[in-house]
Amino acid sequence: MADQALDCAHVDEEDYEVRYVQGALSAEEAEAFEEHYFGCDRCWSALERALDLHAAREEHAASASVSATPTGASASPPLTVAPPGVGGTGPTLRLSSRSGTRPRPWASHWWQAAAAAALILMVGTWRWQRGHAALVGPIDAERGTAADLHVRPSTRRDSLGATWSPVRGAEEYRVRLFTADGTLLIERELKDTAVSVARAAVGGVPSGAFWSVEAVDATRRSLARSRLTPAVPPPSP
Amino acid sequence: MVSDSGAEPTDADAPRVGIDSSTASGIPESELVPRFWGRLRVFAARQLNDATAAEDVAQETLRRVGEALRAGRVQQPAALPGFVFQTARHVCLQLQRSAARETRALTRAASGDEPEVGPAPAADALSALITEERKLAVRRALYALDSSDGELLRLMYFDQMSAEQIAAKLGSTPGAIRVRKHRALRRLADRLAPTPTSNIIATSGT
Repeated sequence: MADQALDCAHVDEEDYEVRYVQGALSAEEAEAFEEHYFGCDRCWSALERALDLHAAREEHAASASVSATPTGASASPPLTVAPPGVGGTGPTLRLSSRSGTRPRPWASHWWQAAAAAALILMVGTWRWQRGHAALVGPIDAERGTAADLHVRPSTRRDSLGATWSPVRGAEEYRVRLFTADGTLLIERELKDTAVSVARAAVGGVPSGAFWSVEAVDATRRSLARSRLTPAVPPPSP
Repeated sequence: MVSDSGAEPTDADAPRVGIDSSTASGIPESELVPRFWGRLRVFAARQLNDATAAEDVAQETLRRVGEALRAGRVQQPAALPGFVFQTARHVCLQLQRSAARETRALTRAASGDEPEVGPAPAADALSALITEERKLAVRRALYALDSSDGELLRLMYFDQMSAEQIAAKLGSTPGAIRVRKHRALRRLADRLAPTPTSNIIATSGT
């Protein structure tokens, strides 16, 4: 049993209900708080809200981690190349040649042809990507987290802004502005595809600040998330 | 009054004042579930780190308290919360001892060694008490709040910042932050359906 009875003022001052749901109270503190909220409707009500928010936080964190999964990463399991004699679910690449068969003189040429084809394919892909990036601008180079949500920063003398491409099925866009060290400066929920924030509201000119935009549907599920995009574009060379 | 020993309160502990004709006590039994069901489940979930077992504890506690009320062992309304709390503690302790005995017996049978009995891992069983629907409603309500309210609650509950840290970040004082928190929580509660006990769900389906 707790040695000292709590009162509401102490619970409030020490954020007991918040720390209780976070598991941050000592065993004695937690027990004292439990004894208190059994008889206190006010503190029980505060604890109920804290539980609600704590559970919603877990949900929020889970959906954030799902949405942070690279596009296509969960679409299909990776192919497994198992060595001979090792069980596995993926296809097995067997390197041993059939014994007793006649040596094939064209075999070495076949590998050379395959290597040349792979090289041609790689060079072609690289050239295509390079040309494509030049056409669509630098933002597309940031593609990776969500190919269909591109953020374009826009800066004015007294404000920072950004626009982004609409996402199909999005009910709202959750817009965040972070400092370079990851501190959240602002967070907004918008139906529009543009945001503007007074520089004074974020402490002047946060050099190294980044935008992050997440599209959510009507059930608050994440549909797409942009890459972190510099709020102040680097000067052109 | 409740016992200080941690054991379930006995007849001798409970003061007898104003015996009610319906329950042999002054406290209507119908008060128990709406008032204590949620509290009991939260308490037991933290104690046992198991949301399903928490429901069993809540049911067993209410059964015992109901019996005590009918027998007239709790007669002062002010003593009821303490009596319910101590009964719940007692039920949890019994469950924990029983589980520990079972573990020891099973381990001895398997290896002949005495197992090390340590504290339960600090997993979060509390979140498991909240329904998915409720979580969704909370998130919707949270994001529908005024941005300053929403930001404050997110900083406090999502980012787990203390009132002092938030005050430093927002250029305010911890006291002002707590006042704002209470107002924001009240506005959040207004947006949520008034379900004083139903937000804490039954997980076993019984």
